[in-house]
Amino acid sequence: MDAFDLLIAGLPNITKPYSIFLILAGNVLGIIFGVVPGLTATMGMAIFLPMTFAMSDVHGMLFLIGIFVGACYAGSISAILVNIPGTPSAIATGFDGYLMAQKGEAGRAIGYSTLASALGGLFGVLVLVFAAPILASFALEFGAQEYTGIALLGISIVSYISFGSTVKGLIGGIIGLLLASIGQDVITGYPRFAFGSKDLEAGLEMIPVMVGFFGVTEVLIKIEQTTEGRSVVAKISKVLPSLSRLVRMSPMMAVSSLIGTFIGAVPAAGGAIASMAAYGIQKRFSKRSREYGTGIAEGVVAAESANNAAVGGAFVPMLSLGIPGDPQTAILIGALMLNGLAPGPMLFATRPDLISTIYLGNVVSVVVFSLIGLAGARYFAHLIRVPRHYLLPAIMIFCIIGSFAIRNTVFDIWVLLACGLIGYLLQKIGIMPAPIILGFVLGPILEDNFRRALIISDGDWTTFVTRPISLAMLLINLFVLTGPYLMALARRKITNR
Amino acid sequence: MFSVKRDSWLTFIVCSVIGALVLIETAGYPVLKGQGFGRGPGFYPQVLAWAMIGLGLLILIQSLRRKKPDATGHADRPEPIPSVAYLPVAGLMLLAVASIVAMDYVGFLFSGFILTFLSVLLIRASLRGRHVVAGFIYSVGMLVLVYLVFDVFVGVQLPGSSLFK
Repeated sequence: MDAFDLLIAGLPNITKPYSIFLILAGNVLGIIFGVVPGLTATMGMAIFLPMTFAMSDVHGMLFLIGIFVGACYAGSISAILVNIPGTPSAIATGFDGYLMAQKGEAGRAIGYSTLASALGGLFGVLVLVFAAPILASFALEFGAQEYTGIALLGISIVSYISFGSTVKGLIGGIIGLLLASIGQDVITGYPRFAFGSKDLEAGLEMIPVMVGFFGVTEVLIKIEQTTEGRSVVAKISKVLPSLSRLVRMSPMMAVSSLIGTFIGAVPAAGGAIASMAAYGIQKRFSKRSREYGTGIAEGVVAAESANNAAVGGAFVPMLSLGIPGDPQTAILIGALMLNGLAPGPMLFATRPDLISTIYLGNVVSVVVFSLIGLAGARYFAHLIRVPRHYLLPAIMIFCIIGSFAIRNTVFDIWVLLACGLIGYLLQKIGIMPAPIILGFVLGPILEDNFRRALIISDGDWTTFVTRPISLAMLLINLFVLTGPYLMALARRKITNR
Repeated sequence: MFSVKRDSWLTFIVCSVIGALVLIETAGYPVLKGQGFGRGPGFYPQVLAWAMIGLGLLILIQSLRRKKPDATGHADRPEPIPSVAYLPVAGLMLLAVASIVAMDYVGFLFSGFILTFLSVLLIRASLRGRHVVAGFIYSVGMLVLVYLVFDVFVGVQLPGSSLFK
C-alpha cells in the first residue's frame, strides 16, 4: 500500500458526523487545557482517556488527538494575552506575542498564531504520511536486540533532552521500568512484587499510573502555591491577519515547520524545544533579526509553526516503531494497548484504516482548531481567570473516577493516589514524572525483548553488539549519555590551555 | 525544590533504599535453569536495582565535586529552602484517602461530593458564608456532571453504597 492509499484508507471513518463531533469535542477540551496555565495537554489526555472506553479504537484515537492538537495550539493564547504560556511549547510565542498584545495587537497576534499553527500542523502531518511508512518498513527487519536498543534509546534521550538533570531523568526512567515489572513475569509467569495481593499480581494498570503521575502530582504541586494572582487579560480586537504579510512569511513558516517536525520526531524533544530552536534560528538569520523580541508577528509565526509541526513529528516514532516520543504519544500508545493493539510496524499491515484515521484526524483537528481559534479566541481568553480552588478539586475527582473506570476496582484509585504522592515527592528532588511514565510504557517492550534476545543467544551478551543496527543503537545511546559530559570536559581543557 | 546538596543526598537515599528493597525482595525469587538464559524472574529487576544504586551514587559524587571552595576559601552555602505550603497538600491527600475509605459505605456520589466541597474550602482557605455556599453549589454541580458523563454517557458503574442499598 503506497502513502496515498494509506492516507485515504481512513476516509470512511473520518467523514462520519460522530467522528467530527469527537474531534470537535476533543479540540474544545484541548483548547481549555491549553489556555488555562498549569493545565497541560498531557493532563487533559490522561484525565479523558477513560472516556474512550465507551468508544471504538478509531473514535478513541480521534478524541485524544483532538485534545492533543487543540492543547498544543491553545497554549499560545495565554502566552499572548497574559505572558503565561498555557503549555511549555508556547514559551517562545510569548516573546513577541505578549509585546504585540501590549501594543494593542492581541487579536492580530492570536490570528497569526492560529494560522501559523494550522500550517505548521499540516506540514507535520504531511511529513508523517511519507516518513512513517518508510521507517516502519525498515523496522520490520528489527529483532529483539534492536528493540532493546530502541527502548533504551527512548529512555536515554528522554532523560537527556527534556527534564533537567540527565542522571535524574535516568533514575525516573528506571523507576518507571520497575513499576512496569510489578506483576507476573513475562516469561515464567512468576508473580513479582505482589506480596500476596491478587491485584498486584495482575500488574499495575497504565491509566491510574499515568493519571497519578500527571494529574494528581500536578494538583499537589499547584495546591502548595499559596498565592493566586489575578491576570490582567489584554483586549482582543481584530483577529484576521493581513493575507499579503502572511504570504511573505510563508518561506519562513516552511523552514520553522521543517525544524519543528524534525525535532518533534526525536524522542522527547517535543514542541517546547522545537519552538525555541525555530525562534532562535529565525532570529539569527532574519533580516529583521534585531526586531525579534520587540513584538513582531514573525516571532509568533516562527514559534507556533514549529511547535505545531512537532505534533506530526512526534507521531513518526510512535506509529513506525511503537516508541513514545513524548508523554502525549505515550498516552496514545496506552489507548491503543487498551484496545488490544500493539503500535509499531505491524500496525501498518494489520490496521491501515486506523493509521490513516490518525493522519486524517490530525488534519481535521488542525482545521477545527483554526476555525475555533479565529472565531472564539476572545471567549476562551476568559478561561485564564478560572480560580484554582474550583479547578483543582474538579481535576482530582476526574482523576479518581477515571482510574476507577478501567476495571471497576477501588485498588486502582489507591494506585492513583500512591503514584500521585510518589510523583510529588520525587519532583521535590528533581525527578520529573515524564521519564517515569515513559519508562513505565517502555518497560514491557524493553524487558520482553531484552530477555528474549538473551534466550535466543543462549545467554550471550555479545548478541547486542554483533548485529549492526543493535550496535548502532547502543553507540547512539552511549553518545547521548556521555556526549555532553565529554564535550564539557573537552571545552574545559581548551579553556585551561 | 530542596537545596542542591540536600537534594542530592535525598536522591542518593531514595535510590539506595529502592534499589536495596528490590534486591532483598528478588533475592528469594527462583533461579530457573535450562532456559538459555537461566536467571529467572528476579534477574531483570536486579539489573534495574543495581543501575538505580549506581545512578544515586553518581548524583552524590557529582554534587560533592561541585562543592569546591571558591577563591576566598569558602564553600558555597546551600541554597535556602523555599517556604512551601505543605499543609494543603497533606490536607488534600487525607481528604482523598478518607473519601476512598468512605466510598464503600456511602457510595461515590456522596463521598465525591464531600471531597470536592472540602477541597474547595481547603484550597480557598476561607469559611466565609458566601464562599461556603458557592463551594456547595459548585460541588453539587460537579458531581451531577460526573454522574452524567461517566454513568450515563460512558456507562461506568460508579461505586455504590453498601450501607444504603
